[in-house]
Amino acid sequence: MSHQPFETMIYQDAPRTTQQEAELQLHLRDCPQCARNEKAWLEVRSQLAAAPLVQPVPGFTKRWEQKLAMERVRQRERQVWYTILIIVGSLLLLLALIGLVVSLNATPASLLAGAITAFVAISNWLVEAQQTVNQLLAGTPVWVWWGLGALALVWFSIVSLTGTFAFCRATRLCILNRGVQS
Amino acid sequence: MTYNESDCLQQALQGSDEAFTALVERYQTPVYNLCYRMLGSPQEAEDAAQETFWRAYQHLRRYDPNRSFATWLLSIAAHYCIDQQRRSRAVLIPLDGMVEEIMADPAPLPERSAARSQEASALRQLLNNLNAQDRAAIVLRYWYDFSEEEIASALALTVSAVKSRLHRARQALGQRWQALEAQNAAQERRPDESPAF
Repeated sequence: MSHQPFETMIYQDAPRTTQQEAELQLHLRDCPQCARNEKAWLEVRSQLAAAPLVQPVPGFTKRWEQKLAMERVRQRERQVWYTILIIVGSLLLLLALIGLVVSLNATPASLLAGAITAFVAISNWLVEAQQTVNQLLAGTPVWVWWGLGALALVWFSIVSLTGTFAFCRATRLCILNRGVQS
Repeated sequence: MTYNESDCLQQALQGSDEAFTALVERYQTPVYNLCYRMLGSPQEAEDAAQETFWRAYQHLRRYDPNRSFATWLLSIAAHYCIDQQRRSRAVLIPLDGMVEEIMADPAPLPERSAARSQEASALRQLLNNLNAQDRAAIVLRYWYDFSEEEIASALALTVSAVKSRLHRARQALGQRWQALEAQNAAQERRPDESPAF
C-alpha cells in the first residue's frame, strides 16, 4: 500500500475534492500511521490558527526614535573615519607613486648622494639663517624680549584653549552617543 | 490624526521622520510577531524588529510602490531573522519562565493563562524544530495569510520551492507534535508507576 498520495493529501494546503476526501477517509480507516499523521497535523493547524500576534513591550516607537538618533550619530562618525581613511590612503598612494618614480629613475648610490647633498644644503641654510638672526638681534632692547615673551604666552593660551574645547566637544559627542545607546 | 499609508510613505520618502515613525507605529506588531516567531526570544525579537525598521528606513527609496508595503517590510524582517538564525545555529530557547506573551485578553483567568502559556510553549518547541527558511514560510503562511506566491516573493524563492518547503515543514510539525504528545503521555504515566525493586 502506497502512503505517498495520502500523505500529500494530508499536508496539502488547498481544500480536498470530494473524491480525494472519500479516498483519504477510506485509507485512514485501514492505516493507523496515516490516521495519526492526519490527527497530529489537524491539531498543529488549529494551534497555529489560534496563536495570536505577539505585541512588543510598550514604547516600541519611542525606542525606534532613539535607535534612529543613535544610528545617525554612528553614520556621521563612520563618514568622518571614511574621509580620514581616504585622505591618508591617497597620501600614502601619492608617496608610493613618488617613491616608485624616483626609484625608477635613479640608482641607490645616486639616491644616497642626493639625500646627503640635500641634508648638507639644509644644514648650511640653517646656519646662515641663525647668523642673520643673531646679527639682527644683537642690538635689540630688553623690552622687545618681554613683548615677544608675552606674545608667545598669548599664542600658547589660544592653542591650549582651542585644544581643550575640541577635546570637550569630542568627549560630549561620545557621552551623547552612549546616552542614546543606553 | 488619521493614518494614510500612501501619504506617510510619500512624506517618509521626502525625508519626514515623523511619517516614517507613523509607519513604525502601524507595523510594529506584525514585524515584532514575525521576529518573535522566528527567533523565539522577546529580546532578540525586539532587536530584530528595530533593525528591520532601520533597514527599511535606509532603503526606502528601493521600495516599489506597486507592491504591498507590509509584504516588503515583512520580507526584510524574514531575511534578517533567517540570517540571524544561520549565524547562531544552536538557538537556545528558554521554555520555562519565559516572558509572557502579551495577549489580547486583558485579564485572563489563571487556568486559561496557564493553558495559553503551555500552548505557546508547545508552539515554540514545534517551530524551533524547523530550519530558518521553513519556519519563515510557515509563519508567513499561518500568521499573515500569505499565499504561496507572496511567500515566494518575500523569501526570494520559486513557488515550487515554497510548496515543497511548506509540505516538508507541515510534515515535520506533525511528527514533532506526535513526539511531544508521546513524551507528555509518558510523563503523565510516570507518577502512577510502581517503583521497580
